[in-house]
Amino acid sequence: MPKNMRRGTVVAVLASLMATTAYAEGTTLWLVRPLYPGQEALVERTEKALDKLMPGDARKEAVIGVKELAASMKGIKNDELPCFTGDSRCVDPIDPFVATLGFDRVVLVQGGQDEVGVKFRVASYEPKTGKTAAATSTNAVLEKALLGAVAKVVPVASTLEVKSAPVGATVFVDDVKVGVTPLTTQVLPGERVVRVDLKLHQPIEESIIIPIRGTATLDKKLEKVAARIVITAAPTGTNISIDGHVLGKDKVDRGILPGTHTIRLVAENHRDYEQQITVKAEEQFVLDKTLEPIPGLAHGVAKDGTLVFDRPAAVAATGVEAIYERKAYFQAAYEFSSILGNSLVGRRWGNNGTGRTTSFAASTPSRMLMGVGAEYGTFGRYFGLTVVGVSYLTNVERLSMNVGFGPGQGRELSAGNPGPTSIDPVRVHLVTIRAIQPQVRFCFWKVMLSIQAGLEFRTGQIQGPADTFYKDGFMPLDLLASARLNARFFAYDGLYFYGSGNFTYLITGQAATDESGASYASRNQWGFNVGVGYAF
Amino acid sequence: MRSERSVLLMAFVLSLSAWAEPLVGPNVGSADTLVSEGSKLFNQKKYAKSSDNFLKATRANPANLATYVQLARAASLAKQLTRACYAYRVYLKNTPDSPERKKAAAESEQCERQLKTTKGQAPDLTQKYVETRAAFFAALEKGELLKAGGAAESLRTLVNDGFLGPELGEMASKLGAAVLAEADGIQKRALAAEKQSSEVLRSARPMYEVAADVGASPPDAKARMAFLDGLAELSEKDYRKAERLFSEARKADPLNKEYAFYEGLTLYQAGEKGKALKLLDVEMKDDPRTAVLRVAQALGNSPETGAAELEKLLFSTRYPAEK
Repeated sequence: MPKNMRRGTVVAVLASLMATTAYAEGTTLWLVRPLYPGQEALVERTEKALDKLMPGDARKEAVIGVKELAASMKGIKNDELPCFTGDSRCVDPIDPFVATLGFDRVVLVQGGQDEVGVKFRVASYEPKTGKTAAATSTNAVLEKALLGAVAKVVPVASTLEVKSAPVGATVFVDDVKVGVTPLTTQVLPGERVVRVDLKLHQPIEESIIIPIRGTATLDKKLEKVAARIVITAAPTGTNISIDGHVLGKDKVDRGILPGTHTIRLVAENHRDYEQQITVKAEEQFVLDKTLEPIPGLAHGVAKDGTLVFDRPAAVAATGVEAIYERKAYFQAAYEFSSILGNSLVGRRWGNNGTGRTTSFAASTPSRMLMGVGAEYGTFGRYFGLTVVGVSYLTNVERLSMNVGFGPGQGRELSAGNPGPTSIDPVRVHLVTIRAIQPQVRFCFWKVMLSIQAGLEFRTGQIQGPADTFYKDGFMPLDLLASARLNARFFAYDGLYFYGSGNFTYLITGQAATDESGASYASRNQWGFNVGVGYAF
Repeated sequence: MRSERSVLLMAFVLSLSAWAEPLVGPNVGSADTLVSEGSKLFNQKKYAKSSDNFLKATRANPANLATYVQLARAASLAKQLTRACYAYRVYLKNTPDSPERKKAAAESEQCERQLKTTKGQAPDLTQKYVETRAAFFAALEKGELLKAGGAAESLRTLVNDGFLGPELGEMASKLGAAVLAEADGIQKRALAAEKQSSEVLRSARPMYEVAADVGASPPDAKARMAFLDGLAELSEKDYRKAERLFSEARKADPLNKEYAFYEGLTLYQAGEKGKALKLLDVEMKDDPRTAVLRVAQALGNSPETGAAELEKLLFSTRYPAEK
């Protein structure tokens, strides 16, 4: 090797070595060791990678590995050593010793491979100053990991020259715009993706290895195209087809004949996209499209921007699948109800009395109640749960009431006088609360039918006129079993209208006895609701 | 820095006095042992020998005043009246409050009377002591430590003339500190690899010897003297003598690895590189200087072993530990 010959002849004695280093200024010694035991093979690979990354002049100024070091040290005589002259105080002669060997810089590399990739730890040491710096890098690709660490501690800026015909093309390095041709720029060494892009010309994209402290040149003639399309699609892996031919994934940038063409984008778990385009001569068509994800595995086809699904039209056109992905709902209703019988029993509180009961009779047989309600629950395509629902009802028609006894009690007294046995009219305020009621659902198109069942608690107040003897009224306290049949129709997004029919069965509640000894209890109830809700 | 002429003169003077015994301090002997021996001889009525032992005891520990009375009594009975009366005077002067003082004063008066009436006694040197003491302090002030008429010579004259007293200890201490400062400066500069002539390097030995004579010798004085003499020989390229002296220094003070290094350096400069590496590998295996010599030796054997050793050296010393 020429450099070895230079070294061997010039460095006869150390004094001359110190005066005239065998290498030109800037000679770097690269030494490699395995980072982990048993990975000695990586040393050779690393040395080869360094050799590959340092072509030309940079390579001439580098000594890579122990073998090259040995070859470069042939003929060196060490008649005198730093510290062994006794001329001056000296405790660490390593720096001057290495400097006299002609190395401006020593780069110590330790490399190892683990489950993450290839890891390099690189230390740069300058014998003339004793300065050291270390850096670490990991990458799946050996060269990239090596350069990643080296570039942090060794001045390795390299030059990239890009020329094109015609000139004026935009140059991207690793997708970063760096200028227009003709271009000379400084870049970090390593594998770089260089793209040269000029309107109405076929773009060029190449991966090139940029050497350490070297120069890489890319000189390309760009071919003119009649028209050009640039399609960028997401998500990653989207197949791009033009006129039925798959041209690539994610990005297609190519020339195209003027005329009408059909673009189709397909990605798993996303709605397909199709568009017809008309490209004129000397025009460039650009499309940047992100496909819309859909639940499940359904694929749709879009034509001219309008989605047409290959599932049954009624389902696909509304995006109904998305409706049933919702997690909760809230609804409000106008409620109608009727008591199936003539008695609603309440008890008395206060007025020094113990419990009292009453029964009442409607002046009309319907005993119609009306009110409002609200419900919150969890959503699902097949199952759901009423977390909590509340209804308020009051009587529409005039109701009267008979006052009786509680079991084992007499009628309430005031100053020794019993209260009246009849009140007319009375106002009924009923509140029912239901909670944790499971729902079973059946869905088609935008319609959801469901059955729910569970327990309800009913309470409220039955009041007479303001001047009645029983000022605080009577309070029902009933536990009911209820069943509801619901129908929901989703009008827009999560918004729905619904109707519901219900039946409540008295399990237990207040009991009352009149003076004749007849016994009364609250009655069952039925009703229906209409309202609106929102699933979210 | 002294002129070469003065250094040569100093060396000459010191060479003449090199045979002399220690003057003051522990190197004279154990004060307690000397007193014990003197008392034993006194009881055996061997007063002259007893007097000599007590005299040495006062030099071994000039601060112990009781010894002066014992010396006076032994000298008196040995008919050394001049010495006896002088010892009484020294004791009385330095012991104003002691139960023994009255008795000693009476003995002193009797001694003085006897001295006046007895012929053939040694002359009284009190006046000479005064002059020599003044010369000592003047020389010490000027930094004339070892030259003819210098502080060391004055102190030696005083001791040889029989000067007594606690002051002797103070004078010895001052002289010891002065010579040690001088010698240690040479040693320090030598370790810092400052250029010093071989004469200067060799001048340290008599200084350390004087320090030893006055009880101020450092524990590693022997190693220091050998090291500095070795450097003088090395500068004159007498590698054999230098190696022997560095080896002596290394063995005298094994903790100071510089002595071992200079022994290795001497071997290296003498062309015995293998021997040098062997020595340094034993004495200072992990020292960077040894490591560099190891690489150089390997390189001399073959470029391959040299490269391998260099690789080891660089990774072991210039590859920062991972945090």
